[in-house]
Amino acid sequence: MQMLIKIELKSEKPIYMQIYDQIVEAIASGKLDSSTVLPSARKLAVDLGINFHTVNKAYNLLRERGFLIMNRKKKFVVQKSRDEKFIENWKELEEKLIDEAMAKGMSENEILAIFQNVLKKQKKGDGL
Amino acid sequence: MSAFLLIMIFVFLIMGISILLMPDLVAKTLPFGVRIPADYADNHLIKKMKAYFRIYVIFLLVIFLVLTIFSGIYEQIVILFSFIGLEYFGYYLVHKRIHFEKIRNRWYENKKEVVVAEIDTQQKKINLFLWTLPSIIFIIISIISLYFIYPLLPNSIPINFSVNGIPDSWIPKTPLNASLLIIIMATITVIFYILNIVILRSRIEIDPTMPEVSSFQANKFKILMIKSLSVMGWFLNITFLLMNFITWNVLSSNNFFMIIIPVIIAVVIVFAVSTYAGAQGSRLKYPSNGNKENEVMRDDDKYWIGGIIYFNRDDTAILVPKRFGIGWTINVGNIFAWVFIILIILLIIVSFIIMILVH
Repeated sequence: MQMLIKIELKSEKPIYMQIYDQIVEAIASGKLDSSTVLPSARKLAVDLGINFHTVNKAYNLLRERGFLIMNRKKKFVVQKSRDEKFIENWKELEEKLIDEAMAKGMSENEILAIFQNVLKKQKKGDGL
Repeated sequence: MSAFLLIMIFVFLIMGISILLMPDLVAKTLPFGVRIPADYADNHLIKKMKAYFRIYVIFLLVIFLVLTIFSGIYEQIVILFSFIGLEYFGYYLVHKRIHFEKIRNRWYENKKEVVVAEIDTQQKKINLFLWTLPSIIFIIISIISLYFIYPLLPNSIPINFSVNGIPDSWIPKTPLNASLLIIIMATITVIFYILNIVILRSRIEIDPTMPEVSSFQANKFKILMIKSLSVMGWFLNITFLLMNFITWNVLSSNNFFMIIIPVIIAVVIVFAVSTYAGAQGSRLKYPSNGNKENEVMRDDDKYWIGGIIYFNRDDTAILVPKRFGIGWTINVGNIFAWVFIILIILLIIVSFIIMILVH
C-alpha cells in the first residue's frame, strides 16, 4: 500500500513533528506495516522539497521512541510490537488525563465518544 | 541546400513547435511558470496570455526561419541564439503579467499550502541495465570490428570531416587513435545511465487536490522519459557506430549525411513522447475522484529566478521538474548541484584538451 505524507509549511506545528505524527498514525492504522523499509531521510527530504536535517530529526525521534529501528543497511524500518513498559506509562498518563477532563466538567459519554472517534478514524485508515 | 541548413531548419522547427505547444503541455496549475490554485486555472487572463504568446512565437518562427535560409553558417548560429533569447523574453513578460495578477487579486488568500510526498513501499522499478543493453551491444560490435579491421587500416585515420563529408584532417594510426569514437560511445552511454539513475530518484510533485492522479502521472512520465532517453542513447551509439565505419573507410564518407538520420529519429521520438505525456505527465489520463476543498500546492514562485532558474537553499533536491518545459532542471541553491555543474564543465574542458592534443 502507498502512503502519502502531507506537510503544511506555514503551520505552527514544526515540520518534523508533522512527519512524526503522520508516520505514527500510519503505523497505527496499518498503512505502514511492521518491517516496512522507509525511504531514506534524504529521499523523503527531496520529495518534500525540504531540508534533509528536518526529516532526519523526525526519523531519529521515531527511533528513540521505538517506532522505527535501524537495520543493517542503515535504513529505517517500521517496528510494530507490543511494548509493556510503554503501555504501563500510557495507562498512567491516560488515567491522569481522564481525571483532569472530568474535574473540568467533561462527562463520561463525551470522553468515550472522543476515544471511539479516534479508533474509528484509524480503522478507516483515512489519513488523507 | 546544404546539410547544415537542413539541420538548422530542423532545430528551429522542433524548438519553435515545442515552445508553441508548451502552454498546453504544462500542468494547469502552473501556467507560464506561475503557481496558481486550481480554481483559477481557467482564468480569462491566462487564456488571453496563451493566445498572445502563440502569436508572438509564430511571428518569431516565421521571421527567423526566413532569416536562416538566407544566411551563412555563422550568422545562422547567431540567429538561433537570438531566437532562443527572444522566445525567453516573451515567456518572461507573460510570466510577470500572470504573477502580477495573482498577487494583486490575492489568489492564494485563505488557501492552505501543503506539500505532499508518497512513501512508496512497493517501488515500481525499471530495469535500467536492460534499457542500456543495446548501447552496450553497439559498443561491443565496434570493439570487435576494430579488432579485425585494425591491421587493414592505412597509416592515417581521418578525424575531421567538412560539412560536405570530405575528410580534411588526419591523425596517425595508433590503437588509441583508432578507438577514439568508441571511447566517446562509452562516455555517452555512461552519462545517459547516470542521468537515468538521477531522474529515477528525482522528486515527483504531488498535487494535494488530486494526489492519486498526479502521482500516477509523474511516475509514468519518469519511466517514459527514462525509456526514451535510453532509446536516444541507442540511436546516438548507432550514429557513432556508422562514423566508426566511415573513419575506418568501410563505409564511404559520402554517407556522412546519412549518419545524422539516427539522431534526428531520436530527437523526434523524445519530442513525440514528451508531447504525448505533457510536462511531468500532466496529459496522461487517470480516473480522478473529486477535489479536496481548500488545499493547494505550496506557492514556490519566489524560488524561481526569472521564472526559469531554481534557487532554494532549503531544498535537498539537486534535480527538480522544470518550471516551463518538459524534463528537469538543477537547483542552483544546492552545493551538490554545483559539484555536478563543475564536473560537467571539467568533462568538456578535458575532452577539448584531448582533442587539441590529438591534433
